Amino acid sequence: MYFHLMLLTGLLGMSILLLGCNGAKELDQRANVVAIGLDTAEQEGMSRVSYQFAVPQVEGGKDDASKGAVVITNTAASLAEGLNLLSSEIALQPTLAHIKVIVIGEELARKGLDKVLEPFMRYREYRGTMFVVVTRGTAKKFLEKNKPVFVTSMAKYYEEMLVNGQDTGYFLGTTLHQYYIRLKSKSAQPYMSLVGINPNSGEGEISTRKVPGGKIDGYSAGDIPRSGGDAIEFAGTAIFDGDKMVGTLSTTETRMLAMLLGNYHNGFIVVEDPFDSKSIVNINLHLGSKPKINVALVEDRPVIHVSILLEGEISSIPSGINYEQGGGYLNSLETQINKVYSQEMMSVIKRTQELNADVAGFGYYLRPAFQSNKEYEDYKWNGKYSQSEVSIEVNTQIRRNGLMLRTVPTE
Amino acid sequence: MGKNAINKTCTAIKELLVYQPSDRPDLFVLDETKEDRKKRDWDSPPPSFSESLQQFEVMVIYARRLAIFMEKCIAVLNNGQWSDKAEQLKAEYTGLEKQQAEIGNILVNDNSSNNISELAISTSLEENQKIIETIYQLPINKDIVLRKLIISDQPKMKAMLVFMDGLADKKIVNMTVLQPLMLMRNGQQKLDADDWVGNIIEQCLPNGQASRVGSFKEVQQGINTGDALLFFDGIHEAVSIETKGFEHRGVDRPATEQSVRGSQNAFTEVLRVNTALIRSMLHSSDLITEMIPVGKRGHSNCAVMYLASVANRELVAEVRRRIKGINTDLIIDSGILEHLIIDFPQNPFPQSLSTERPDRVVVHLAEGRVAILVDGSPFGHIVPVSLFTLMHSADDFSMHFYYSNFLRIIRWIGGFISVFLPAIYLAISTFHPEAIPTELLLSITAARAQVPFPTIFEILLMELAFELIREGGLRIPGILGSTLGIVGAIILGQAAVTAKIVSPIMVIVIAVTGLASYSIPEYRLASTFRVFRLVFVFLTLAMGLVGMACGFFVITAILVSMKSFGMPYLAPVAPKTTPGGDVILRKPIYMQKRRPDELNPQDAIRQGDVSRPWTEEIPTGGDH
Amino acid sequence: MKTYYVGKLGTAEGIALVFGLVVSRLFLSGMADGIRGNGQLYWLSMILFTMIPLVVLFMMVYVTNSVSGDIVAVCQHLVGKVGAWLILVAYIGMFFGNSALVLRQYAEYTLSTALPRAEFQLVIVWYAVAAGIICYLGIEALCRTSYILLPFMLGGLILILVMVNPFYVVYNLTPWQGNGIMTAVQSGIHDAGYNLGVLSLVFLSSAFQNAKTIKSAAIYALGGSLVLRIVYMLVYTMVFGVAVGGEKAMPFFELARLVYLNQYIQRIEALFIVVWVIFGLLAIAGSMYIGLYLIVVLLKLPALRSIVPLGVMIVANLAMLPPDIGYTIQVDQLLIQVTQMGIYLFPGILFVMALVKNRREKSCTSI
Repeated sequence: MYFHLMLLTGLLGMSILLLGCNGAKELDQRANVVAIGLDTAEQEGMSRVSYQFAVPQVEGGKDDASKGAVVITNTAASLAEGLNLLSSEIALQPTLAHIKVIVIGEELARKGLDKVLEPFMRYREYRGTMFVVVTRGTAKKFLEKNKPVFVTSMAKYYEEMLVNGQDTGYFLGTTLHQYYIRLKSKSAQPYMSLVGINPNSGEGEISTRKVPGGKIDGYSAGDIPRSGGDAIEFAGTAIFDGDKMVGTLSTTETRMLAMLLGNYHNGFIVVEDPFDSKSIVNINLHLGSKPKINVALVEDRPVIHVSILLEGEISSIPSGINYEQGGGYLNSLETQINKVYSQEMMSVIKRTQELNADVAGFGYYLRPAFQSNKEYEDYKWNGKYSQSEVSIEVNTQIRRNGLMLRTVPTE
Repeated sequence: MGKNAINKTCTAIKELLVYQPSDRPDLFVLDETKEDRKKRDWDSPPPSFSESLQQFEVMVIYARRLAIFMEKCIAVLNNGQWSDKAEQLKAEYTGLEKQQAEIGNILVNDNSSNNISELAISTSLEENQKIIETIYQLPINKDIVLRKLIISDQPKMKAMLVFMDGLADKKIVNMTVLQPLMLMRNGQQKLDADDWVGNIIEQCLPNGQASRVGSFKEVQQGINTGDALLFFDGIHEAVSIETKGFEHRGVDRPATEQSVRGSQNAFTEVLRVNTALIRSMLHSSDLITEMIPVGKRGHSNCAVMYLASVANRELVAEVRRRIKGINTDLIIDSGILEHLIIDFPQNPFPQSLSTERPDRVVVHLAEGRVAILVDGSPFGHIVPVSLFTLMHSADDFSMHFYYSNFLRIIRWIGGFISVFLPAIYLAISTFHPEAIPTELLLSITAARAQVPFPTIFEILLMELAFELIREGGLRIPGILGSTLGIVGAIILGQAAVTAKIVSPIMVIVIAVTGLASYSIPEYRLASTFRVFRLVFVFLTLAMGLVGMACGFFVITAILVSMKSFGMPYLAPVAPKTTPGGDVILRKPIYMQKRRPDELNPQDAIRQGDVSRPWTEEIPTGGDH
Repeated sequence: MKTYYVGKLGTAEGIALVFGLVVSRLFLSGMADGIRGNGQLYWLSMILFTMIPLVVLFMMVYVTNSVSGDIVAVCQHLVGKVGAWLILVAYIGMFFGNSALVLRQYAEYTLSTALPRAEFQLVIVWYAVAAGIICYLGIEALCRTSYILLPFMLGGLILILVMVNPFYVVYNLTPWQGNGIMTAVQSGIHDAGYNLGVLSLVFLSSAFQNAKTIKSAAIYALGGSLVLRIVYMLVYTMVFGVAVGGEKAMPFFELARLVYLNQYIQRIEALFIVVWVIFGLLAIAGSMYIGLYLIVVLLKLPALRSIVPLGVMIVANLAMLPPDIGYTIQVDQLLIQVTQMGIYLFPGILFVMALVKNRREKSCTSI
């Protein structure tokens, strides 16, 4: 009996091991794709897919950032075909599990993303936590021109940028999951971060003029006036209506969107000094609490009321006026900020209403008013957004003054 | 001359070419014994029937002659003619003695057709001596000492002292046996002839333990364990005197279970010393030590110890039944005894706790378990035991419960790591690489890219190397032991990495696994985990984490259905019973109220509800 | 037949048995179907299809209390030999079908998530043999293993639900009526077959200590599974919303994939394979054991261990019958609907017959 049991176990074990490795591959038999770029191709029905691979650096080898990543571009009928062609081009089997970002060219985004992004939700190697960005220009060039300054690993660069870089609110990182949820939710419209390649010439292009009282212009990606450093930059948002891209928001507008979403962490603003119109005041602001948004139906028309609490810390008063003492001075500073921000936010919301792109997600706040899904779907929020009435109330509280109590005049 | 040269050449060529059988004697070949040899070699072949008849006749003649001689002696003594007939009688007596010597052999042969151990002690000292010489093969076997002595002068009694050289303590023999018996004439005491042996024992032998024995079986048991046997001429009993005093290792620190804060005694190879150590820690009148001899050829003693008022009676009866029901040759180690009496001998998990510390034995005895000790083995076994008890260490009893719980958690984590870590690494790196953070993945890939072997081969190679180092470390003489550890572990590992045979992360994985396996207090459990580590690696090789999960489930199911002496192996957890306060984590000692319920002890409450009554009393303060 | 000691299983083992049989369906596509059909009100349907089997269990406990003997004797006494055979054969079919379909769906689940390149038959045989080994070791081993491992598995599940916190959108739970209250109630009544496993407590009643054990085990197990289901459904709806939630084939896997806390805690769904494999094995082995036990008790066979290989082969072959996953899910839904018979019809008949018998007996002795 014992012998038979041992024999059976031995035979079973051998036969199981002989069936193959069941898809097991050693780590050095896989090539890790870190970023995918999607573009339109010249021919009809084809798309250009770019893959950026992370090449493991052998220790003691050259620590060259350019060696750390390789971009391969295929022109193929679909994403899956592009993957097939890859196996003829590289020695290792590509694995898509470590993709950090999906870069979509602007042209493709304006044409419509529905057919393109569907495989991302179905094929098991793609996952919802991958970031999506829209790039001005082509994705291929974006991936090729990316030479990060600080980190040699491309994967780390993308993650750091998209997770930690959104503090100031100048761009918002979006995942595939968020895009897809908003697409199907009938309560909001998707948005994606806008990226671009900067010519690095030192000259820029203003997308949004500064509002009266404010001192900051808004730029879009690729237009920031600077020189030096990595050529690519993340700035602004691409807003969608359904699956088609309909417009972009600049940095200042994106900051307003971040406040509406409750995502604004830490950023400096510059406003005109209320008592000295030639000089400015710098304040470090963040959201005091999540924005209180109220959407109600008045005779079938949505009425939106937004109330935002901002808290801040003064970081620079070049004019030396003693705002720190509280009372009237501080109030006027706060009123100035409220005015500036209300104007900016109203202009952003007006703009999205024109484009019929409810990126702030006001539809979500309307949902509790309905009783069942059928009623809500019959209401068709996306069509009604442009007719809604919006009122904004910004409330700023400046809590701290930095390290100084007052500025004693020089002379 | 020429003839000689030619002859020599021819002879030389002939010697070279022609086969000549060698003239060396044949080498020794260990052949099997002849089938028809029923008796041992040194016995004479059993006599045929006529020979038996002849011997019988000779013995009858001798007996008749002896009877006639004794009648003659009585007649002479009655008539008072002793001085005249003394010479004649003496000559006849000498003749009779010679005849007896001749037929002594016949007697012995006759008797040895039965089992020689079943013999009773005969009244004749010569016969006893012959029997002893036969049993122990005396002229060849130099270990037995036969000392003849004469006891007292009224009447002169011949006696024979038999003991085993080396096992018996010579001082005790000399002082408590020889000295009082041979110098008794100074005492001027005449011993009463009725119940001679009883009187000798009670009045003449100043030894702590002296008993009478009647058969050669007990004689052998006594001599073989170190007692001295005293035979008397004309008495059919012998006295067995306790003179054990062989050389043994003293009570030393524990070799395998060191502790920082516990007692530092450990068992030795002498059973009496071990039971004494246990008794010295548990001063209870209820502590019972039963001695059960085991093994047919070497009658080692096995001691079963338990607290009669606490331990479950049926458990004790079952332990006794199993030990008595063993039919085996020789038991030299308690591990062998354990394998003969446990429920599931094919299962590699240990079903009894083996320890060499008396303080652990005492703690478990107080909970209601039974301890089994074997003569000659410094490890005692405690039954029944659960898996959780095997992970306790001796230090837990004396340290503060926060620290000992912390150490327990670390031990359990170490146990899990030692079983699962290579399998998890194999599964994640080959089947599910997405779970590794990208940075780590790239650096592992860079390191692995230069290694030509697959991961499974690396794992097996490093496991083999680790086991070799471990085994080698056991056998290396003490001076080189630590050197080999450093050489083997560090340099070999480093050299293997530099030569790109294994990747550095594999060295780390195997080293952490090995270290974790040393954190498990029970050595046999760690060995079991080592076996299962390989099983899990192969399961993972086939099916990834799915295989590992199935294997984990099946092995847990097997553990749950195991029993250790009738108590389920995962006892306070698997059938949910009231725990004793010390399962995975240990409660503070003042909260351990109950004995473990799964042992079903006779008295379930260990200490009352309030184990520290002093906390409820008002302090009396200083001196009033 | 007696591979267990009579009267040795306690409340905890009962809870573990029922939990294992019932919760495994949480990982499969049922949640997506339910959300698509009922919207945000699926929790009401869940409450209904948990409470009804609980009531049915109490009815069955009353039935087995009033007639002595095991389940065959009870059925024979109440509805006659033919009726008993019909009822028990139907239950055997339901349990084996449940085991086979869960096995098939878990094999598909494995092929989609854990081992995409594996051979299909290997996975089926692997699971079936592992479940067979556990059945061979007996109901005690099954129950006790499951309640040792259950807290850790549940902890893993709750951990995932907590870790997707950054993705919660509370407004996805509104409009609260979902697709309508009547729809939810209807689907709740029709889906009562999800909790068929609770009747295993009645079939194995001679292994449990007493009726109170069975009742409390059923309450805790079904209540616990209800709470777990509702929390899971709420989190799933909050994260995905009704529209996307109804699209996903593997809800638990998708939730696990979505976990992204920082650079290092992401893509951890591979580590939770252990959780759902063990739940799946519990369900397959438990249903197989109950089916085999009913066979043994019906045919009065002397031992259960010897027909375990037979059960393994039956279940594995049944599992390999459907040609693709769509068909499998359809058959699964069909099985749940058919199981309504086992929840409503048979216990109803038995309860009514037991009441009638009791009244008749009472009227006899009241003279």
